[in-house]
Amino acid sequence: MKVTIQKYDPAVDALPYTKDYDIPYTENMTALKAILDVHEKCEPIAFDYSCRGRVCGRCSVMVNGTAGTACTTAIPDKAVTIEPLRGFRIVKDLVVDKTEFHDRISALELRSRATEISYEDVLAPVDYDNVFMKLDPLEWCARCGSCQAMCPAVHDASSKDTYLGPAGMIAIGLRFFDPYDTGDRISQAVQEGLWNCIMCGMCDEVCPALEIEHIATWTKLREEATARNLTQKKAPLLPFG
Amino acid sequence: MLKRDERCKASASQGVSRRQFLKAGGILTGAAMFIGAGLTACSNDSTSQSSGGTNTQANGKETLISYSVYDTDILIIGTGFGGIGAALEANAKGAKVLMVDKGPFEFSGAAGMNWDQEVTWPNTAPEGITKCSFNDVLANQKLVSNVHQFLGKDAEAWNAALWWVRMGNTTWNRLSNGNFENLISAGSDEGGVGAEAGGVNLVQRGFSRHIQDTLKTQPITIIDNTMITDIFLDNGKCVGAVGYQVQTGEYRVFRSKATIATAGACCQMYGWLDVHPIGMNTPDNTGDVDAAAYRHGVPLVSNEFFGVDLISVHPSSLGASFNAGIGADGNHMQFVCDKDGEFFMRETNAYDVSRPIRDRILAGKGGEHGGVFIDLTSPEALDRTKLRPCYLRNVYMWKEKFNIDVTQSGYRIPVSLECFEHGGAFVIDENCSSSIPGLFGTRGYGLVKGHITQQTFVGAFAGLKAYEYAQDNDVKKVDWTAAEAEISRIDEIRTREVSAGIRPFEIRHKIQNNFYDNWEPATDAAKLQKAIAELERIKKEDLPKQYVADKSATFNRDWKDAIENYNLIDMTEATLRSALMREESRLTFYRTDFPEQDDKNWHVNIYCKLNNGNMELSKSEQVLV
Repeated sequence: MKVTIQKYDPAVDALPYTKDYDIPYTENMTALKAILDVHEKCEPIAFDYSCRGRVCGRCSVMVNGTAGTACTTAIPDKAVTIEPLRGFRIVKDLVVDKTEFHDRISALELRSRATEISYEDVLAPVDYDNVFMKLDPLEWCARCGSCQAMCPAVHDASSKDTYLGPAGMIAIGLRFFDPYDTGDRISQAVQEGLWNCIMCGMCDEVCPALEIEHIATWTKLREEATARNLTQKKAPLLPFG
Repeated sequence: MLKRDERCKASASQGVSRRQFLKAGGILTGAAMFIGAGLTACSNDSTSQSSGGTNTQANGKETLISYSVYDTDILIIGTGFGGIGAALEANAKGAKVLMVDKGPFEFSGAAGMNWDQEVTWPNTAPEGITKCSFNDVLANQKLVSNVHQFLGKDAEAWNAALWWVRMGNTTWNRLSNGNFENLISAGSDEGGVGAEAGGVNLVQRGFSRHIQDTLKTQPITIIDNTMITDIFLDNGKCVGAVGYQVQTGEYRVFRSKATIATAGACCQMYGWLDVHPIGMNTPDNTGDVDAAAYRHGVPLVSNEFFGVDLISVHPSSLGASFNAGIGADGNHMQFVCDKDGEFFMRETNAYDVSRPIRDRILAGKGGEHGGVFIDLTSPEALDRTKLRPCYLRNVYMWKEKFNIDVTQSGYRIPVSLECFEHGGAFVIDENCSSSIPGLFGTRGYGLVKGHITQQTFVGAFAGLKAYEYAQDNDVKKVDWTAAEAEISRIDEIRTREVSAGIRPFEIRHKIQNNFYDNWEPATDAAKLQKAIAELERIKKEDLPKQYVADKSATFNRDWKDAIENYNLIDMTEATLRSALMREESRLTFYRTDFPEQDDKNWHVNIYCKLNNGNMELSKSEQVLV
């Protein structure tokens, strides 16, 4: 089968370029296996992976234009193009730097625990349907960045930086359902662009964590926001002049 | 020939934020002239070998290699649970703490996997170490006793479940009977797995992202994507560590008053499937610091012991991954069957499940893949209280993404024993100190269970002991020669030119297959001798021919693999030689020529120590209180 991989070493190359490789197809082949085969049988490729199970998120790439974790992306026995995750700085070939994206999500946690939590709090019953089963799926977000790479609202040049993106919004949604959280997550969601999302559902399409229901989560957050009359879109920051 | 620039010193000693720190780089930048280290732009002598960096009397081919220096009180290598425990403790004492990790922080190693990690905690603080959950059969009881006293009598200090929630974890589901959902081995004095510890709870639902997010709010410096390749010794003391930034190739020297190694277990020797060994532990963990300590004379211990359980090996690209594969932990044995479909594990209540599984395979009841099977065709298999959520979610993922329906009548999932933890680590004493002053560890205190809570506890204690040591230890003036020699060594690995060279992954797979083929499902003296002979051959014939196909210093997999191979060979040799010495079977360690446990002769740890270039083995009695 033909595998086309985007190559780029910023220390040497002026621009990224693509290269074709021929490797044998194997049953239930993943994109990660294809990359590794090229690396071992053709020539060295810079790529990153760790858990092989969509929970570290390090191997996310674009496969035929769609983002996903390479480790769980099944590929067909025909031509496949693999490129680095869209929207991130390329370190080399398929490796991108997601530090800024990750730090921004981590920063959302800052208000999660303002008061002391006792073991009695932990032992207290939890509403299974309305809290636990809403919260539990969101835990599986690995912050791989696949949703971010595909999100039209994130990449809309006319409203740049108005929307945090689906992965960050999931982190806010998780804290919204978290019984111990002390932050105002609805205000935070609106401030991070809850209404700038165009509700296209692309994040639900590409997320490797199949249990996460993005649009349903946004809908719940929007209902709460509407009840509080927080229905404004976030405006883009404008430079002087 | 050393030129060191102190311009950046002020910017980094003011406690700047992590982001600024990353941008500012090191607090000192150093540059050393290396002789014949062979940067291709500067050296046309392709056969030259570096011999220790700063010797300016060599053949005159000089290469300028620069490096950055980072200063800290406490250096912690690894950002997993041991490292986090150590960092929080040392930081709370007021020490300046710097953590360094090979991968991107939050996404590196076992703790970088955001999944339902196991959280264990007792109902009350154990009264003595005999009831302490990590006082295992061969543990250094003085260390266990010290950690026990360090945690004290307050039940909250022992309550890891509460700690996880306070560190940002969300919640565990409560059932109508008051128990946590998926609560396992709720040991009590009446029985159960945790009974010997006086009642231990275990819930598989600790998502590590929250703890790591919380750690980022602390004034702790985190330098990630930086692989430590050696510890830095001066005058017999550990004064830091040496490594390089894997994305840029920048060499880095960390100077510290005390250093704690928490880089995790080395499981990479356990065979090879399509994209990984038969082990869920990640490719980040290659025993780098354990091997480095070994090269400096610290003994390795517990190498012959692995933590193992069952995981799918077909489809092979998804094999041995807890979050893309389907497996069974010790508590989920009811779905395990042999090639005839017999659910043989339902009859055993063995604490160690590996032995009955291996016996079944040895009896010819395994599949062609060399393991057994999991059968999830009964409706109750899809009950989240019966099958661990991290496996259950893959039933749906396989169906949707790979069109494999494991619930279809007659479908059996081929599974094998995979290693999730390796016992091998450098030896530490009752104060977490190695035999090198200033070098502390969190694992090498004998055969121990190695669960996350224990790592956090021992890590915190190591953080305290390292802090105390750092109080009286000044590293203002150090001799940089050893650090520069190490930089020279790793630079030569990248730039080496050899004819008919072998790429690092080829050597890696030889080490892996040689080990696994002679280890699973059980080993014996003949297999071990064969494996040792082949490993010796790889070391003697293949390793000198190892070459890095891509000479770039920018994110170079071959280079990283090549450096790791030296470590992996040492760890594998220690494992095979210890196994050959231990003439018994114990827990997950199984020799068919000595199938019984022999407490009379083998209730001991085995140490592997480097002496005049040879690995020497010795028995070490368990340290008792």
